[in-house]
Parts: sequence; C-alpha cells; structure tokens
Amino acid sequence: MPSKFTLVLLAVVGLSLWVTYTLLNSKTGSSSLAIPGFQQMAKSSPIPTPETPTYNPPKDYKFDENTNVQNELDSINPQVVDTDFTDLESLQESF
Amino acid sequence: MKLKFFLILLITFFGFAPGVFARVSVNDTYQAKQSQFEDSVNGLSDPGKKQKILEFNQMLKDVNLKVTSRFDDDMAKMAAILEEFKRRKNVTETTVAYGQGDTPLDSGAYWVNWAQEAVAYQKIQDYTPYFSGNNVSGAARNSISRLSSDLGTVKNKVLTAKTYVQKAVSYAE
Repeated sequence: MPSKFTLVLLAVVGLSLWVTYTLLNSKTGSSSLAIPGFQQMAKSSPIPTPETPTYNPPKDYKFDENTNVQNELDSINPQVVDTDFTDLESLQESF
Repeated sequence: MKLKFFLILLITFFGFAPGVFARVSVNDTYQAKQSQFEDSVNGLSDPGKKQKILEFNQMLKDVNLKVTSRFDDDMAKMAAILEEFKRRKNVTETTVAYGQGDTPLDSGAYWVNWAQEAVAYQKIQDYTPYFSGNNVSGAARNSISRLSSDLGTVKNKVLTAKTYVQKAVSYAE
C-alpha cells in the first residue's frame, strides 16, 4: 500500500508532465494557462517587411584561355566614393 | 517537509521557465529597435521632418546595398579569375575551409571567400538613425559616419582579397 506521500508525489509529477506537454504542444500561444511570459515564448517573430530595393545579383563572370586575366584583375577597383553619400549628407543637413 | 520543498521547487520552475527559455533572436531585437524608431518618428511634431527621416532611413539602406553590390561584382570577378587559373593549371579541387591553404591558389580562394563573407555581412547591417527627442540630426550624422566607416572596412577586405588573388595569378603564370 503506497504511502500518502508517494501518492501526492505521483500526482504532482503527473500534473507537471501534463502541464509541460500542454505547454510544448500549444500552437497558438494563447493557451488558457496563465503563465507569465509563455505567450512571448511561443509566439514566432514577425517576418521583417522588405524595405530594400530589389537586389541585383552579381554579374556572372566567365573567362577562358583568351582572357587576359591580369587585365581583368587590374580592373578591379573597389571604391567608396564621396558621391555615394552626397544625397544622404544633404538630407541630413536639412534636419 | 520534503514535499513542501519539492512543491516550492516545482512552482519556482514553472514561474521562471518561460522567461528563461524564451529565446530572443537577432530579429526580435531588430524588430524591437524598429518599433522604437517608429515610436520616435511618430513622436515628432513636424510632419515634414517625419517624412524626411523615413526617407533618410531608406536612403541609408539603398547606399549600403548599392556599394556592397559593387563589391559583390568585384568578388565575383576575382572568384572567376581564380576559377580560370585553376582550369588552366588543371587544379580540380580547392577546398579551403580553415586556414589559408598550401599554395597561392589556395590562399587566394581562402581570402576571396573571407571577403565575400564580409560583403554579405555588411549587406545586412542596420544603420537606422535611432534618436530620442529632437536629436534627429545627430543620430543621422552618426548613421552616415558608421555606414561610411563600415563600407571603408569592407573595401579594405576586398583589396586584401585582391592582393592574394594577384599573388595566385603571379604564381600560376
């Protein structure tokens, strides 16, 4: 005959398992279980609205044996020029 | 006594678990900051200023994308140059996941990959001018400054990759 303590312990463990199962299987996050923070845990992050202009993928370069590779390499000249920021700066000055 | 202790432990666990296990992703942080930005914009009394700050924010994104797209092209060209050299030298495989490789061709591939990652990372950076009160101008200036500085850093990374590709070309020729 199990003692009173064992019965209570079993009941508590069973209840804990049920609560955990309910928590993990809740799809909406709007369960009636009033556990603070739960909704935050279950709610997925909203997808950011795309605000950037259409992204143009980089050009597809293909060279062959006739290509002067050195010339192609020399033509690479990464720049961050002042004119890139002209519009931004003039708008900033207007604030 | 033990039962009481166990129950307290259980209640404590369920009280704090949701907060502990709640994951705050990068996107959550971004969304929270964007929301804060929108609140700040809505708090401006001048409608013209509101419009300008939103336009400015969009322009920051456009400039970042425009410049990083140019870098993307540069990196694509470097990758194609290395591919062509590998073809000419009958190198069928260059896998350099870690380290810089044994040959200049391997090193070139490594640094191209490194710079490509830097460009990709730069592309998703956020330069929203977060401001409080009416300090719009200061926040805007700060955003331009950060964008310019970061793009300069990425430019140097592209140039570093170019140096290693040049070494690979010199080695292979």
